[in-house]
Amino acid sequence: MVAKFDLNDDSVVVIIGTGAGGGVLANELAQKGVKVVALEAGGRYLPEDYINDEWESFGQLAWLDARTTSGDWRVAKDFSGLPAWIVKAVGGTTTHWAGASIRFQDHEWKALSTYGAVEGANLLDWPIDGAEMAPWYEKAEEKLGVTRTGNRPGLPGNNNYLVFEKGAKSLGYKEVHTGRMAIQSSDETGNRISCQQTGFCFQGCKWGAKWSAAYTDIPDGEATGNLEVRDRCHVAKILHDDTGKVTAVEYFDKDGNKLTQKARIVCVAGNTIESPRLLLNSASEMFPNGLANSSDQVGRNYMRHVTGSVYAIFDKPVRMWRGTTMAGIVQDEARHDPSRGFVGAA
Amino acid sequence: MTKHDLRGLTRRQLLSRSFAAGALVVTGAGFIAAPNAAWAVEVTAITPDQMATLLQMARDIYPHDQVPDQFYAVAVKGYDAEDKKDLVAAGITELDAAARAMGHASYLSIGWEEDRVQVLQSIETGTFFQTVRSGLVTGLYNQKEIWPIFGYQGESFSQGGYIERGFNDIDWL
Repeated sequence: MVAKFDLNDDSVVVIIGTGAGGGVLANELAQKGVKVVALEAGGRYLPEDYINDEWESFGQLAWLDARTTSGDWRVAKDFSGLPAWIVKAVGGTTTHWAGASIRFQDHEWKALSTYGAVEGANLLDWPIDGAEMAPWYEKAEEKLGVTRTGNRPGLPGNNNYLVFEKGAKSLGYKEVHTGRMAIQSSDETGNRISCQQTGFCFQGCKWGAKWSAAYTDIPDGEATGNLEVRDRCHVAKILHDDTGKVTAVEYFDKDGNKLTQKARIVCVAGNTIESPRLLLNSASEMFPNGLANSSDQVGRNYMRHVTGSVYAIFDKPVRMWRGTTMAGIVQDEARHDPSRGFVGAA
Repeated sequence: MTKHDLRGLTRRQLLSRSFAAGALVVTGAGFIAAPNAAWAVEVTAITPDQMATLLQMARDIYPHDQVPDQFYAVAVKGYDAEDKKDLVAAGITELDAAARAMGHASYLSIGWEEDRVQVLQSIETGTFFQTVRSGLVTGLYNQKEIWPIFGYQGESFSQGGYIERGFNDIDWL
């Protein structure tokens, strides 16, 4: 029996976004008996809907609402009209992600103390650290089925990986392997089908081998009867009362109707760009600088993958497309070693 | 043809020369076609000459001897549209002007790929070239029919992935 809550039910928790944050939270709360309305801007797609074609899949899953960037960073030059590839769908970007699940290194929790002030960067120390996070990491690794943690074996190396491994080891690298991936690697260690080395991880895993909230947490939460997911419902504004407490969210449904859902708690989980956008767009007389923004940092300190791509052509066929897209990792250089002329590393 | 003109022909230059010199039939009757009429592209918003120019540009930008013309034609077909024709007209005007500045009658009239590429390079920072080039990345390469030419296998799920189809069969490392 799928849950259906009334717009005027102010006892529900409203979660905006159903990805890694929102999707998981929605399920965890539903499992505990909490009533949840999850509002997802995108549509609902499951493995049978995913498409083994990069370009067509992009059209299906990507956030294509007009977004832009400017300034002197390289993305503004190359992709000012498409600055980020995030997902607009139930499950969010967990549909598209590679599955790489690496823990922060201890020093990465304390960037400011470890690196010192870095010009042009805005560093802070987290108020938590690796020791405190360890049991939570373990819980997440169990839940996602991360390879090379617990009793889960690493994925086997595909053609792309084997070339990579040969090169890395020839250079003397030692920490070379197929990574810690939230992808089922064995039929014995979890409840998802294991990886079939299909090669379209970023287009949604049609086997469900890669962990995605879309086909794990969301249906699990819905099965409790405590979670209602409203897809194609795009939240425009978060409302509050005159004590400053949230009261409701305004959203547009798939037909463009503006609706208001009351809430006792609102969770904003719309990924790096849409969450700040929503908080800033929720500015009011009481909060002219947007919600949750007494620090004035909402929308600042944007972090993303920094990618340098290298391509190689070999004399003989590699057939690098045959298998898990993020085929492997070298971790030897990930240490913090300022003698190299920079702080941090990957 | 003097020895100087031959300039150490590469196979690609030979093929491109024959292509440009008449492999395309521009009839002026609203379409361009292959000489053996194996395919044709009808044009409505732009002229046949403009479509032929776009097709040649596409091949010069991403040259693949083994990819037949009709795939390049499909890749630029979208420019035959009301909302694209001004960009096309202005862009080709500039392109032909650049060709004349290098001593040719027009871009399309140039026999050697190398010379056509030089003309393209002279306009490569402009909007027209950038638009055509970036559109080709998916417009050309996302045509499934040409993937076998490159050895790319495409869709995989319906065949059970590669776990039993050579996902790690590399044998020359």
